[in-house]
Amino acid sequence: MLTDLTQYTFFTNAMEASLLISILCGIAGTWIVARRLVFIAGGITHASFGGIGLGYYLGINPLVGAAAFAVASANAMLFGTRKGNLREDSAIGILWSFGMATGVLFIFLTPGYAPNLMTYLFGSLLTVGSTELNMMWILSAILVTFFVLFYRVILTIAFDENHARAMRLPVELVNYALMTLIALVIVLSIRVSGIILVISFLTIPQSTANLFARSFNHIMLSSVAISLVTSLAGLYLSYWLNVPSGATIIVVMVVVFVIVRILKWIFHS
Amino acid sequence: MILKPIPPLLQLNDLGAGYNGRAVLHDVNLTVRANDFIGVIGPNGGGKTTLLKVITGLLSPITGSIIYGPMLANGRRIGYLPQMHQYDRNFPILVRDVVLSGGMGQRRLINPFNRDDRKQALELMAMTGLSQLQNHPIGDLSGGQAQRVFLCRALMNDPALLILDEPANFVDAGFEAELYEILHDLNKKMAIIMVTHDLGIITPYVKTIACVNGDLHYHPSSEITQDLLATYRCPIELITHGTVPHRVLKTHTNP
Repeated sequence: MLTDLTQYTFFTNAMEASLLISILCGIAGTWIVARRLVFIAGGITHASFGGIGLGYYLGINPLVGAAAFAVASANAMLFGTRKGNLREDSAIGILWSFGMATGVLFIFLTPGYAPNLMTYLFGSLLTVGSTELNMMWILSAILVTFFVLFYRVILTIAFDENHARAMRLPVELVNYALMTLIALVIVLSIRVSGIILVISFLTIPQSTANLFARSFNHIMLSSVAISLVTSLAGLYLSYWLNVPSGATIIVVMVVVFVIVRILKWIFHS
Repeated sequence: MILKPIPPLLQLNDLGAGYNGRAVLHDVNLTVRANDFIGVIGPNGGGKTTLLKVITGLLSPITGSIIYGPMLANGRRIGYLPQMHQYDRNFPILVRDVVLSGGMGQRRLINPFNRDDRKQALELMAMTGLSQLQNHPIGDLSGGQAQRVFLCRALMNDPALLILDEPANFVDAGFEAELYEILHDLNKKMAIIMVTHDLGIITPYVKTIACVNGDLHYHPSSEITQDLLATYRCPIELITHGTVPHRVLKTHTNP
């Protein structure tokens, strides 16, 4: 029966999207978790809802609006906390709610019904189209290239920003570049996993990987693998049980985390 | 034959520095030359760490100037061991990668390390007794062991000037003595500036003293007395040790 499913384009697209979101979020999430930026990622995710609303209002692809809002809010957060003496958690709170509020207003002002709005809130792995897949391929290529080429710089700055600055490394440039890439990763992941659930792809596989892998690159690779396996498992499971795929994937991710945690506890005692 | 004078490593001219426009340090003049070993003393809040931040480039001077000599390559050839700082113990990074990261200042950004660099990192870890720990994450280490890792990281930069901020804090007594011997050896190859509160122990190693208390008084000798500190308005206490084996320094004879 499993082989039957792969005859359908929507299902192979969903598998391809699972692979791509695993690569994107596995890598980006490792940096986010290591730097303790999970709630900044949450803020960026919700701020992008304003862009989705704007997209509907202007009649353009909501993902374009989301990308603009996400990149702008990511860099504003970085800038505001560094130069504006704004506390980081307060900055997150402001952008988080501002994005959601503008999203609601734009959708209210848009005449008629906003189709697929739920897709952006909760994601829809099974309706991902080839345009979105192509965009994810391109972003994956950029992200992987960036991390492979600049791995040592990224690691050095992430571990000790002050020391990196003392060594005259381009700390600000790398941080802004990474925040921009993270914002784009979040926007393309929204289509797959939804605003509400993006954060799970950025944190749960990394936390599972961190239970056994102890260096940055091992966590990165393990996160991609765990993310891929759990999202494919969740995808099949959701089909059998006839329940939403995004939510199922997250439940599978958490169950795997708990199992690995228990296994670690057994083997270490 | 004309001998060209060797340019100093570093020159601070009428330097003022501080935070949010408020100067902590003012009118600082200091010349650092190759093979100097300057002990920096002074009360808490006197500006010792601020001075180091200016030299390492973490803080821009408010007034005056800082001039790096050609040996320092615009400040890139400085090794910096910050005061026992709050590194993230849960950050997923191995000891050897922390050590290697210290070499980034001198190397290209893409694929920066070759076999020689890795060999150098191994040698540094062997010198500081870290070989067994090289594949452990930094979070596994005690504060004293981490301090050794950060010393190796500072040395990975092939520094012409090594800057240490209270390096003996949190280090166990055994390694402290070893640390000063290591610094003594390193001083043959590089200048050292070391902030310390424990002047008694380092006196045999430092060559000159700088008292930092809002301004900077340079004392071109390592022999100091309480009287001398009073004239420099440098209210620090000389630490002497009691029942443990200790070194008594000769009293400063007035000229």
